Amino acid sequence: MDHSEIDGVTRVALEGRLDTAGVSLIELPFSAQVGGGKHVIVDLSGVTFLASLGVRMFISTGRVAAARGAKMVLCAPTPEVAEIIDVMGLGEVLPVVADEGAAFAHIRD
Amino acid sequence: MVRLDTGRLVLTLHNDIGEIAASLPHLQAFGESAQLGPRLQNRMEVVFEELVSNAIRHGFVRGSQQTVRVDAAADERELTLVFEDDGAPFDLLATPAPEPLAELATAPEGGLGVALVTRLVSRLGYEALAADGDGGFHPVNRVTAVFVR
Repeated sequence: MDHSEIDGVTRVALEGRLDTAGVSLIELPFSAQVGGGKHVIVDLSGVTFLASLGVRMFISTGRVAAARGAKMVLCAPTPEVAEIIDVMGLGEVLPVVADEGAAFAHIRD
Repeated sequence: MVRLDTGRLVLTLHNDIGEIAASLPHLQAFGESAQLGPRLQNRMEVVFEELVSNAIRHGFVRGSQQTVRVDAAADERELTLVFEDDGAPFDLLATPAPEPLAELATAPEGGLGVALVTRLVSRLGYEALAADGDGGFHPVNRVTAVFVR
């Protein structure tokens, strides 16, 4: 997991498999980044696999961000990850956009 | 234990969540030999992850010697995965489907795995098996997931 700050927005780039093992490794540090109260862009371009625990992690952390008045935007999913996002309807509760530029635009809306 | 033949893979996993990751190279080799393509390969791996992790995390007694056996077979029309385990009886088809995600504040965090499996496969079946007999592996749950190619 890589993170940085750009214009007051936290950018988190996730990598690898968000399966049972992968989520157990990153859930705490990821939650800490999202819980800081700043808008968050989550770059999914390096995520190769998404299972239900990953979906649950995005729902719970997105809820934390919203409770602190911040937006969390998911961006750049691979086709395989995008299919799981679509099948689960995750885009109904969190914005999912094609790239980082669109994510910044969504946050500034 | 792993057995890979043309168009068929049989895996036996024990009560250790790390065995899922150890199975991935075998699933990938099977997918390549069966020419599943990236979309169906991903669907297969997601369903495998959900059903095996569900059995280990919710169906097995911690520290037990319980087992999941997965039999995958593919032909030109279908990919079929059969999961058998000797954990607690669990009919995933009797689980109420969670409400579709609509609002972040009310989005459910439970039942997502079963919902995902149900939506990714073409057909899903469950059988409760008689767990009698001495020694050996006596599964009590059998889940059959079929993907039309």
